[in-house]
Amino acid sequence: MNAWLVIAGLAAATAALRVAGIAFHAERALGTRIAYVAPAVLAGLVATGTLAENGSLTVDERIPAMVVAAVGAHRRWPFLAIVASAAATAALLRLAL
Amino acid sequence: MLRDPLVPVAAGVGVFGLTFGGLARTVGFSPVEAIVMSVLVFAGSAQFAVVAALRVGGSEWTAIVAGVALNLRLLPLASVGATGFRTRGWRRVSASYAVTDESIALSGGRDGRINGRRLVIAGLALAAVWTLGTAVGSLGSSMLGEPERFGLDVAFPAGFVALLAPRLRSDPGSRRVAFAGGVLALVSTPMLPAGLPLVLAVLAVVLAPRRQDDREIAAP
Repeated sequence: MNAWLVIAGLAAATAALRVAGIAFHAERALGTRIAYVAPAVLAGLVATGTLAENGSLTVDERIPAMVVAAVGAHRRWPFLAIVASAAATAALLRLAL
Repeated sequence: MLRDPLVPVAAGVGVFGLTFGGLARTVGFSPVEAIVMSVLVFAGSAQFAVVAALRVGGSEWTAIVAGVALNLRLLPLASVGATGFRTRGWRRVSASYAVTDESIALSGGRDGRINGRRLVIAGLALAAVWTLGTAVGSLGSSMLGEPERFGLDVAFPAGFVALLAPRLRSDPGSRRVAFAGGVLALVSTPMLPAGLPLVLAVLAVVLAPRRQDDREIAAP
């Protein structure tokens, strides 16, 4: 594996995407809807992080772990408590099953 | 300062970097290569995708395509981030480096507008812990083992739930957009290469139904 080829290729493409993004006027296209980009991206990350695995949908230990996270978020636990309780749930289930 | 949400998010990114550093070693990246990659690319999920593609026997180009596909969402994200930038020219171009999912999520004000200064500060702080995590993880990878054993793979979606919750509580418009974004990402997951479902999720911003009770933000 040529590591430097991977690093240079990904770094160049990533920088180009970021720079192209700031040149594009999102505000003109989206107007006030722009405030909703963050919840849309976050929800996409939550959904795929819970159910997607190698391009397909799977049901596994991540679901009960995310239920714990959702309960914690609903009860306004601190950020680290939410993350740690979800990780611990997944780890314990994997240990048990 | 400790109550600033940047602190726990940075801690999460540091742990994520630790995991990345460890995994990068398993596919043949030296510690120096992993660290340089984290500094130059600074996009965690794309870097994980690269490692995942190489792990299943993909070529260098397959790995690059997997990473770039995940980073396509940086285009709309940077475009949103730029609405908070007041600078022009090279300063504006270099500020785009600070754009990540987390820095965008952390720099939205109560009215949903992006604070450019906060975006850059959050982005640079996260880049620092991401790189530090990568360094420690790649140098001490033998001690770490499989990250799934410790449930670290759910640390990220759980963290995103925590970031999302206040928006969902306070704003019905955000609830509809978040629901639509999640559904779009899931439905497209079996059909599209990794990363593109997240781009599709952004479309929820224009596709989700509008209602009168949506919080309207004063036009500039």
